[in-house]
Amino acid sequence: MANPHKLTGARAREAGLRVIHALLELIAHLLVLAGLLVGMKLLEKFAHKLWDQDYLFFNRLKLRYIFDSADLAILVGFLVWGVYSVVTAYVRKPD
Amino acid sequence: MSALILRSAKHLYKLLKVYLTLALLGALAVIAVETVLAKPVLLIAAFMIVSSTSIVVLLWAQSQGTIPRKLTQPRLQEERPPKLPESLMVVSLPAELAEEIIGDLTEEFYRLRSKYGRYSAITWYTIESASVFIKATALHCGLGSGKSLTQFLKKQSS
Repeated sequence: MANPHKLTGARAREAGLRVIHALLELIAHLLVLAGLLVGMKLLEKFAHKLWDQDYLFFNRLKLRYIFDSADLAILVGFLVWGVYSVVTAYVRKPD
Repeated sequence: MSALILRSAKHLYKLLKVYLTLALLGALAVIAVETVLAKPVLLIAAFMIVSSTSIVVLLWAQSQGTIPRKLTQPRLQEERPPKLPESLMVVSLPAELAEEIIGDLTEEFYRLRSKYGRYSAITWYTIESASVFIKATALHCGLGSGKSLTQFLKKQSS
């Protein structure tokens, strides 16, 4: 007969591995996200040094809007794809 | 250990590519929105281009499913009539006529191919298809007389 304590231990270890995988996935996403956001912020600062913050492309499009929409797209992407990846990593059976 | 690092680096690179693409799409989206707001005619032009392309693609796909393919062997399939002239006929002719005319032209194509060779048959098929396409388009645009097209189509199918 199987030892119930051992079973519980194996299950706890499996759950721990799942949590670790999910955390690693989350950290990977956050690292990339932070790198990209910092990079874009620096690029934005540089662009603002070259042109004015409210510089208008073709007398219509503000330079700031381009960077803001890129930031928004990344954050929405993280909320959808990042969360999905973390949940998938948690649900996936550990090797 | 190095394999683990390589795997992690690959995963991070994949994430970076996806997020970078999203950022570029976001930036392009705001440019597109501003452009459309400035010149709404662009939106109409884009819609017309996309819709006409979709119609052509759908008609072509329909022709793939509805027009019987007599030859299914891989080697012989390469020898079948060229696709572009056939698609032009499918687009320009009514469905029932298109199937009939394409069938006849295809039969003639195979006969010419066995007699004179592939290139001669392709040339003949392309010229005939272009002729059908031009006449049918002229009729659609109200440029040609309906009688002449009907005669022409009858001649094609006989």
